[in-house]
Amino acid sequence: MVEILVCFKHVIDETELKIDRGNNKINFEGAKTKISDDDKNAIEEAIRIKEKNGGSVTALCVGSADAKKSMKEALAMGCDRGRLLVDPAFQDSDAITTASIISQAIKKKIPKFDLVITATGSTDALTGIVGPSLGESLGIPQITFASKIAVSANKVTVDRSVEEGLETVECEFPVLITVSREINQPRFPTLIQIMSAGKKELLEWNAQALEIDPLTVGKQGSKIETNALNVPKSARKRIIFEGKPEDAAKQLAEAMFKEGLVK
Amino acid sequence: MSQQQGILVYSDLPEVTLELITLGQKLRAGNLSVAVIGSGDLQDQISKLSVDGVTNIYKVSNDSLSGFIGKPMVDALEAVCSEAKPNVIIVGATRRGREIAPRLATRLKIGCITDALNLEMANGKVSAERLVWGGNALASVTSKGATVVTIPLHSNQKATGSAQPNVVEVSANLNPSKVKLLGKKERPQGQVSIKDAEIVVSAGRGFKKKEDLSLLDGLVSTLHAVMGASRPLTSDLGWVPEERQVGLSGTTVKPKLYIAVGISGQIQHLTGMRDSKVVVAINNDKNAPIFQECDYGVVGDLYAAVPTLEKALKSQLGS
Repeated sequence: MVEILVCFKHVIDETELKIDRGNNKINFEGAKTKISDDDKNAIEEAIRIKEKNGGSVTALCVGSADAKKSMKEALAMGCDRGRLLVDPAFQDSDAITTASIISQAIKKKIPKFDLVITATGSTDALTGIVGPSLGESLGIPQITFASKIAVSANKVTVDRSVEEGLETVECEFPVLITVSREINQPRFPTLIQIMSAGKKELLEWNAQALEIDPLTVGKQGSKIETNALNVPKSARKRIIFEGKPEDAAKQLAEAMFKEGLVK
Repeated sequence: MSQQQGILVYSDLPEVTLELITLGQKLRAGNLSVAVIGSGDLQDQISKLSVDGVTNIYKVSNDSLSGFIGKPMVDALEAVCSEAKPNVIIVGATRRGREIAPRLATRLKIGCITDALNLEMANGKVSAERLVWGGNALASVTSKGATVVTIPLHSNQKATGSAQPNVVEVSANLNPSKVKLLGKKERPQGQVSIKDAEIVVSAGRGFKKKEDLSLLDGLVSTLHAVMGASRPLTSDLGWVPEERQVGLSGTTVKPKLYIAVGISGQIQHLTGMRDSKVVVAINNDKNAPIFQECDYGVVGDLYAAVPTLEKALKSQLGS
């Protein structure tokens, strides 16, 4: 029996953003939201470990009321219960502060657990901070960039890839693991699972319930502030050859030589 | 920590530390210190990193650092910070760096900026830009007070020259981690990873079947390139091993020449090759986003264009 906590982020789908190059602005209007891509791998891995070893999976998410939609998807995938950490005071928290909110929720409400699983980063802010910072805040060991997890009795054996190659490490519970995308292929919930997700327990916890001082979170509690969002400039030449592919390819070869790209 | 000043740089890969030293010199923000942590006398690393501009080297040597496990590394860096009192701690964004930077910032109760571009320090504030939303947007961020920053690999030249920095031995109270290293499989020698390749030829969904990827073999060998692929070919279809995936969820590459063959240019992919020096694209869809992000493009069937390109390059090369 493994008690697993999995954390995910509710994000705007980055593939739906509209780029206004003229005004150098990004248009978020009408963009859909989703569970951050890699977080689905984290959820999938948590469910697989439960299916193999028994136990339960609790999903945690810091977000707005809109995040309920993503939480229901996590429950439909197979998480047993959802915990939404939602409070206006949490808005504009930087990543370390977000990790501190999750850490406080776990310490306060779910002190008994074996495994915490997160992704290595989100698709929106991509800081990669929350997982490692959460492990540190909880004061438990952590293993990052896992590509394979095996659970036996009271410990995990994990493959993780680093620059020089592959490492195999082990650690007793409790431990936090951040998983790489390659670890699995997330499932699509069936219709029946989607329908029954509504019956699973979904609780909302605010700052008061978690005994979090609002001054320590949100913008005022954070050290990092985001001031502006701009569209990165693309300075590509965009020289395009069309017509018969063979002719275009020859022109391309000539251009590559002139540019000194091929020696 | 009131009198913080100067910069401390660290990477678990000494080659990357040299890049960080160059950045540290450019920032001109007081003392430039380097942390060297590991086991043994560490003399090789210390001499390697005694380059122009380095004023201090802080050394922590301990057996529990031999496996480069996160916790003792963070313990050691924490000890170095309490000695050096830096205002900015710059860590190379290796995988280990990506773990230890947020951990260190959390311990020190200071801010953390990862994958910082255009890092600046002024009036005690650290500011930087970072790519967000899959590379679609550039966020300007500032940090109040001391900060841990990670820097993408290979974004600075390696520092050179030689200097005689003070070497300060720091004693740290290191408890062995509960994470135990059981084994290590080194990347096979001679196999160039796409991250370090000078020329990358990547395949995408424009290839109709796995066997067709051999169409690129000649081009790859003619250019002495390394083959990459987009996410559908690695994660979804499994035609190409995951470690060759270029993109947000794969590897970020910065070759001198990047050739995208049959890749439409989803944001997820563009993020992984945006910093390539020159981008060439071959795709049959004229409206594919990749043509907005390329220097040279061929609109046409890759099955016809690739063999012709290979032949034309070979004849120009006289091979």
